Amino acid sequence: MAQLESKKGMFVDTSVCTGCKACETACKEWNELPMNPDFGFTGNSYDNTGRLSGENWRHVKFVEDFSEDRSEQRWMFLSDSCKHCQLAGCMEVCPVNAIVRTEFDTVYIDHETCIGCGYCITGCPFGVIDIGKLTGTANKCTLCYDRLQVGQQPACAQTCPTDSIQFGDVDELMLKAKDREKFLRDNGDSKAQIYGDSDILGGLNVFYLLQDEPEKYGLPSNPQLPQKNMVGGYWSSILSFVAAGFISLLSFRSRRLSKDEQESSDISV
Amino acid sequence: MPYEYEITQLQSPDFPWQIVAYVFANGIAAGAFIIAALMAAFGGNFVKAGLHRAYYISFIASPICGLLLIGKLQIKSRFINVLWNSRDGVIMFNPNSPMSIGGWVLSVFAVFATIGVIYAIGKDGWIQWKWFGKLVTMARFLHEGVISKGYLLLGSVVAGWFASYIGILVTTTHLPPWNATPLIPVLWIVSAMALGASTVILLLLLSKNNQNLDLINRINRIVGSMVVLNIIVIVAFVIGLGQWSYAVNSGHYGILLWGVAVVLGLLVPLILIMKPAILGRRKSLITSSVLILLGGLALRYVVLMGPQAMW
Repeated sequence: MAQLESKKGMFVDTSVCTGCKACETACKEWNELPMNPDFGFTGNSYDNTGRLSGENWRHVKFVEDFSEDRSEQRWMFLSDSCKHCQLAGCMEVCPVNAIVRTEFDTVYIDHETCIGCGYCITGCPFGVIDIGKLTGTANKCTLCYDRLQVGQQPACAQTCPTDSIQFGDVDELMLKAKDREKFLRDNGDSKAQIYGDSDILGGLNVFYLLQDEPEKYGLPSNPQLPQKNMVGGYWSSILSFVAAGFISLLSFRSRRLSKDEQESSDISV
Repeated sequence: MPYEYEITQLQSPDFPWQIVAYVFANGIAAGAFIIAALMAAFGGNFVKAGLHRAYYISFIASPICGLLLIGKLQIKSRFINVLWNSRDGVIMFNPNSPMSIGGWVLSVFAVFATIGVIYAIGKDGWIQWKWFGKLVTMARFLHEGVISKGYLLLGSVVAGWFASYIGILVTTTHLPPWNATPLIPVLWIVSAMALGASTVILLLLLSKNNQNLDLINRINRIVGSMVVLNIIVIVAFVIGLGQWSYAVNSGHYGILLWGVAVVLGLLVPLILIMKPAILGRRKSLITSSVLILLGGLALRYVVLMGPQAMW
């Protein structure tokens, strides 16, 4: 881990996002990400990116929310990317320590070390990571690490025309977010809520102000590290090994031979 | 677009076919080793001539496992990074990552398998070189000396870990069908015992040595027990999957699981083990062993590929 200089992150205010996808475009352009290999139309949304992938490190979700009879509708948007979690599942499971924390407290994939095993994909509770089709290594948002190193802000934040994506020190951004949450709630948006305070994986460096429950945006309400299942796996292994070994020994040592076993002379025929 | 966390947010790791072949080969290697080591150490005073030949299976399967693991990686040339972190110049070991631990378990198992095969070669008298004789003496001490029980038990534990770690690995993920139950490691261990024992039987049948008959019968009893256990664990696993059971029950995965893995790979062999007269003893042993291997492969394909096909 690099010496921590500052704790940088993003506050994504979904209440002012217009779904213009300028952030997606800026991300692709700055990071020289290739075109989607399976380019096409989703067919069930005005969003045609679909999901985060090795070629899309940022994805503006279109939450097209219709009532059953379609008499009521609303559109909500969420510019999704890596959350740079304090407790990062991807870092925890990486077998080669290719995923590291930078001096800006962000989570970064070292492409010179990554072996492309894909295990981090399953470790991320947000489905952020994917194997890049061109690189063969794990890919995700770097929070524009190269730009941060020269004092610039990430390309998406710089491009956002409504300041829905704000970059800065996480603690300061969180204060801003709480003010904004209070403002929205005071003005009748009762479901406005911050997603990514310290209650979620120790805090998300990229956190959100949502206008509805996290599930509405496809986000888990209580994401966990994948290790929560590991201990159960070890226990079941140990118990099954003991049980299988014991049963095998009993079967092997049994003195009772079946009639067929006694008459086994035709085995070698 | 309506977003559903498990389907629209989570991603499949797209583990390729090599992972299925790997778990199959590692099951055979680990199962054969456990059968040989446990039965040699604690199997009682029976004639066990030929049991050591199981180590040939473990030894041959180990490098195949390694090659399959490397083949699964996108950047194959960097496989050594699992054991050595060249960036930081330190040994690579991440106790939170079952994959990292698995790399070491494979390496340690390969050492046990190598010592085992040296012991087996010495016992069969295939190599008479002087320097090799010293290795055989060492291997014989470990397998037959005063510490043999402890050594063989330790080797069996390592083999059991080797057989089950991919189960722990997939359980330690966010993919719902994989983490819905802690039973996948159990599946792999029980199935590995059946696979290993069946492979040992096939090898012993090849030798056409009448001294092996009692040993084959005894190992075949282990197969019978493991087959019954395997059926119970598969049913418990599918029930434990709950709403995600469709990942292994639907389409060709369902046919492979219930038709090939359970009926063809477990129930038919069980009938042949109980009623060998149906085909004759030798043919029954060969058929049931081959079917168990086929069923074990199908089981691994379904459990590993079915959940990944959800995306």
